[in-house]
Amino acid sequence: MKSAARGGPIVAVAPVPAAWRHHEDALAERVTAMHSTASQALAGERNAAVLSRIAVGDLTGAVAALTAWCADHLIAVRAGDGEAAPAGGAEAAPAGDGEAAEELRVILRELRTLGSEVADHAFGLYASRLADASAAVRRLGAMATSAQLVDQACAELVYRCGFGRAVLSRVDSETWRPWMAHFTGAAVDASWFAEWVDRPIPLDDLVLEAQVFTEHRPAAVPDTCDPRVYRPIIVDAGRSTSYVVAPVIVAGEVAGFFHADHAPGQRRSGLVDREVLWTFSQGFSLAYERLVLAERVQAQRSRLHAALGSAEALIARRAPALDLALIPDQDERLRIYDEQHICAHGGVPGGSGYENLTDREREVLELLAVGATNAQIADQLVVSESTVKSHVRHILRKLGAVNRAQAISRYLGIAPMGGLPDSRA
Amino acid sequence: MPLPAVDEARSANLDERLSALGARLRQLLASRPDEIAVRALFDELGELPLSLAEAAADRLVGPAQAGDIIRAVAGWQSELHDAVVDAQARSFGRINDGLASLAGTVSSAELVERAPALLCEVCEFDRAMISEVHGSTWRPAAVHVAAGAADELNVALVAAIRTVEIPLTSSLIETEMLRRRASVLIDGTAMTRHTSGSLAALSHSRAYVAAPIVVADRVAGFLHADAYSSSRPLTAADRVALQAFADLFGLLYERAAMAERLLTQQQAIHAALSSAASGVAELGPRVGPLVRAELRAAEVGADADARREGGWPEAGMLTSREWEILGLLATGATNSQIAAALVVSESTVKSHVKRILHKLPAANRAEAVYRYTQLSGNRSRAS
Repeated sequence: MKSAARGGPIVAVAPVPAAWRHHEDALAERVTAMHSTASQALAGERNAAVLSRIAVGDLTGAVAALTAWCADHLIAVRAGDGEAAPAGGAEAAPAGDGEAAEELRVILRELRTLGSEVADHAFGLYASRLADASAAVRRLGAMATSAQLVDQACAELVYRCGFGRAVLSRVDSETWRPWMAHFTGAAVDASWFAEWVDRPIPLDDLVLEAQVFTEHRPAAVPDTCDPRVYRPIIVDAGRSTSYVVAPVIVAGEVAGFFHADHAPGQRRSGLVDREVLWTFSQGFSLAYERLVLAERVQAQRSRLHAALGSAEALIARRAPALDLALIPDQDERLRIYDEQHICAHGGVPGGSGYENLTDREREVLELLAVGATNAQIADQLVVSESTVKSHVRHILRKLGAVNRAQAISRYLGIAPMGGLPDSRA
Repeated sequence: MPLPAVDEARSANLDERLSALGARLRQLLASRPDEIAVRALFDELGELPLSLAEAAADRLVGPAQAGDIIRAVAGWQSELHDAVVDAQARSFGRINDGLASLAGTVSSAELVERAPALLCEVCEFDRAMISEVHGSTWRPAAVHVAAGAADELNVALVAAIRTVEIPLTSSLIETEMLRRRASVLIDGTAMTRHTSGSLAALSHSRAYVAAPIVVADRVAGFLHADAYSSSRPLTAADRVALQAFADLFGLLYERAAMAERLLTQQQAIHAALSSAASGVAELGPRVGPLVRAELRAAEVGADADARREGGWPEAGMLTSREWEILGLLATGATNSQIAAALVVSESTVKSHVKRILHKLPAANRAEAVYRYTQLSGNRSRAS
């Protein structure tokens, strides 16, 4: 059974717990069963130390404690038997030392096998959890959008990395706000989380998360009695006994946290859990940044298209009639060109004094416009240079230009009237 | 209640055995624990409780002493377990922290350059190599020798590695990695059967681990590593560690490449748009008058044409600032207007204009405007 603490797209991840977790649960059951068997052999006596070790996931310690307990009892049982029956040979198990002793002997032999299996699991756990974290990172890298990444991260963390619960929070410089979560396990009450979504939790110095925030490093809390734990959400609402937290670092800043624990069980979260979460959150951060960048590359393109599209539309609207293919001959084309040009620039020659120019002045202006000097114009028109000068003066006045360049410019229509800001403005 | 006497000789023997076990334990815990040795001791300790219980019952050891030892053994086992898990978590942490230290690296080329040395450092390999897949071949891009760098063989390896290019044939382990996207641990017979001959001849590797680097859902390269100098046996944990490194590295690389692509695209768009904008600025107003100007140019421009033959200036001769000023000048702007538009002093504009007139060459501003219409025509034809 799974329950997502937050509405929105629920993740389609196969609800199969991580293989190591499955195996560990099976081993824990067997150790518990061995405890029950031993307990029966010892007239219902229970060993609380063994049971609490199983609960926190310390199976190695549980088997060792259970072994010591049974061995102690075997000594006691046989010491009691020793009075009644004479000691047998040192090597062979003495006959008739009681049913209880024989039962304990069987249990101790089984515990030796179980202990070896537990050790195989415990010593090899690192490699399989590292492989799980790595596989989770690959899956994060394959997400198509940042929205999908954010929505599915917590479920990935739970199912791929074998945690019981995972929470993603957003962080700013002063607070962290729970955002997304995924809880697993039967009969988990996830309703409390809804009340915490987006609720700001201060990142003051006393809170462990503040240290994660400033050091850009993950942290493990083996026991939530730790005074740095922010109890209202973690203990009072979340009922966590032990958890790990890692920063989500985006563009060099802590932008979020991942919190994870092994609830609903009491399994302790340790250093390996911390590193699994750290690998995961690094993968998440990189995948997130990559997706945001990729989305930006796309956005750049569509903005470019939009801009070009609107520019094109603008051009089409401005010059609907200009279609050179429809214009018959070259002279006609020239004429239309000029008219089009004149219209487009607010009728520069026509509307701003051009019509007031005399024919001679127009001739001078045309020569001016091709860059002719006064001497060249005089030469061309077979007049004196001073005559040209006075023509030019008249032209400037009639066009309202302050200099020759402006006069030419207005005539050529490079700049509409008043195109540049006045220097005094 | 009188107990039968404990067998003194066996008891002394047990003491000896226990102190030997204790010494081994302390030695193992003193340094970074060797997992195989730890496991052997752990299993030996696991044998003790039952045999001690029997020995105590048979009066071979005192029951109190046996009980103490049994409880101590349980503690020792936990200590060994904790030491191993702690060491494993620390190696895990080194990989994470190492890759976190790369997160600030911006260029993808730099990432490739730095990967082998970092891999040696965080996963304790003697040599590491990063390669790139190119079509149907793969070739080493960078190699790092952390231990035994002075070794002649390694010197030769480093010198020659960049020249190696290996076809992805079907028997090759790299081809298998490309297909299955899984890391591998290669030793023994697999070395000769699935390793490239040229690489084996260069590296003399006896065993190595390798992992694919997945970038944008494609195997873009590989990481190879071994423990050539120390001859430390490589294990599945080494393979998994390399895999974890490669997977995070792939994302790091992809992010860097994506950031580079974003920047390149941004620059390309900017360049394209500004050249389009200046192209448009040059083209638009020029169209009509140019047609008319050419009608006259043949008549009046003879003098200018003569100068042009002596070397018509290319648009490139003007600096972009001068080009900008010429554009403004051509709109008829006065020096003070240009100065205001460009936020420079009028005297700067004057000296720019002087240089422009000299370069074009133009006798005056009016001719400069004419040259501008000519030049911008040249420029748009050239582009």
